[in-house]
Amino acid sequence: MQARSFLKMIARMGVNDAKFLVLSNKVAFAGTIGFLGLYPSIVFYNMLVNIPLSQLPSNVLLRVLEPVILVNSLMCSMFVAIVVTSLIDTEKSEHVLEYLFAYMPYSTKVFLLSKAVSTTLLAIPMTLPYFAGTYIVLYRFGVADAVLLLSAYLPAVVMAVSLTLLLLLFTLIMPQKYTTILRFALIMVAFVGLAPLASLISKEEASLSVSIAIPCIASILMLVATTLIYIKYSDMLIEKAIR
Amino acid sequence: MSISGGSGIVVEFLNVTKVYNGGVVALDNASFSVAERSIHALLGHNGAGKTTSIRLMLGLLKPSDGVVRVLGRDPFREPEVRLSIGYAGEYIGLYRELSVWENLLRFCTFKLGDEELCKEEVGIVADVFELHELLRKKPQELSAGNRQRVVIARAFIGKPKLVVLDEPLNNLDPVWRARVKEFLKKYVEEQGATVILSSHILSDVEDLADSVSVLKSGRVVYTGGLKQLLEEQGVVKLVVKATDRTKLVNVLSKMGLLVHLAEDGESVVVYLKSESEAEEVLNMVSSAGIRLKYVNIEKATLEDIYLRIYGAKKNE
Repeated sequence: MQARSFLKMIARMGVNDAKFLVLSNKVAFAGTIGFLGLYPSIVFYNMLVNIPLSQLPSNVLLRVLEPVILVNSLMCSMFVAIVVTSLIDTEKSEHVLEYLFAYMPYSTKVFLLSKAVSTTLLAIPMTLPYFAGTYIVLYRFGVADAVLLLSAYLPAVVMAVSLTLLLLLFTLIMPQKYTTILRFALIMVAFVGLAPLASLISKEEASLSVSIAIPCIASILMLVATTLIYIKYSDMLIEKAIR
Repeated sequence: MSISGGSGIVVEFLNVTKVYNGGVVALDNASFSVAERSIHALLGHNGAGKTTSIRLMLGLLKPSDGVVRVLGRDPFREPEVRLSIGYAGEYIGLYRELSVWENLLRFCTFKLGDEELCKEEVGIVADVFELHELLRKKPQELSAGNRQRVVIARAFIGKPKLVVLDEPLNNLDPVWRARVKEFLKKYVEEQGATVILSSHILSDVEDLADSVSVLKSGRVVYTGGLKQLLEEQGVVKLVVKATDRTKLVNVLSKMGLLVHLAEDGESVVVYLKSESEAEEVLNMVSSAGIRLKYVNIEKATLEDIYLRIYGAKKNE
């Protein structure tokens, strides 16, 4: 029953947020989708045009694709988390949050968690080129490698949920000017920090499955930690946010 | 006091205390109940605990102690009860980026889920509150009164069994104030619903409410029927101005009456059960040899009684 409520809430939240983003600022939303969708497309285009697939040994191709997928999907999720937490910021400052809580037939804990999950789900359409990349691998190497490659998407999604939860936490308790700075700082960290991370993963001597497993485990631990923080402190934070 | 969903009690607070982080006591052992098919008013100065009570009813806050029941459920632990509650708060709470139509539809789908049903529901409240000309506009393009109509309309989407309104008549012009009051009475009668409102405009409360709870510094200083309150506290207000005010106050006090100073700073006011009692008091004052400069006997208003309750408690 609880699980079904949670899933319903994710769907409701996702639809509402996506609609809001489109309704409130169509140009900016379209621009974001365009930019985020275009960027990985160019990456794949370059890979396919400059390095013919037939000339690449399979292990090299997988090792090139995997960090690209991991880092770029994480970046897309991060962008959406930033957009949606800025939406929460607006909702808080204009007292809309109080009405959302008052009209929501679920607990505030479910609200926050489902907001974080639906936010991440919103990022999926922006990362469609990765699925295209996975399809290429599937065509070239078979199901096992394609599934392995697709699983690189998992830590990015899980990390995005944790990240959104943390951002929500700060958004609830901090004044708007600080949360804006925080989001800006996060974008900078993403740009500066993710490229070295990608090259580090691709140079790793370990096998592909091990290099995917490490971010997977790290992201799940991060999610568990942030969820526990939320369960313990969300009531207090919400009380502070609506007072 | 029993706590039951089927007892005709829609909202019940039983020894509820709410202490915010930082130690601020917003509600202190508060108990009151609201009967179904009635209009109940929460009265009190700013910071008395009205908004905290409303947020506890909505399940937005968890009581530090005591029990809150709404429609037989604990609103904090069973938030699905909110499906039966409409709410209009102190703040507008509308998205600036969306039109009035988009705002109403968004809140409705958020609550009820079904967009087709919501289009119908928003249409119904738009008819009732004559919002059709405003639907395409953004909230910031509306006057304060029109925005308030939108906020009130939102509370009635989906015909909730309980409607909680925080200062609902603020910013409305006299015509719309009268229309909203009329609508609230009709809604309670026709839908068998319950309305809880807080207001500083006591004449409106007197027009609307069947029962009231008066809060002061987080404590309930009166709860019960409005008619009963008016009868208990005295329905007649006697205003007297004498050449010797000290002597007048002494005589009235000896008669066991609670004497208040009027707003003009010279006259004194006493509250009595009936006009004949007022006449008796005047006879006794005259026989004590006090020369009266001004006498007025009038019907006591809720505002008089409210100020008395606050004043009397202040002196305790």
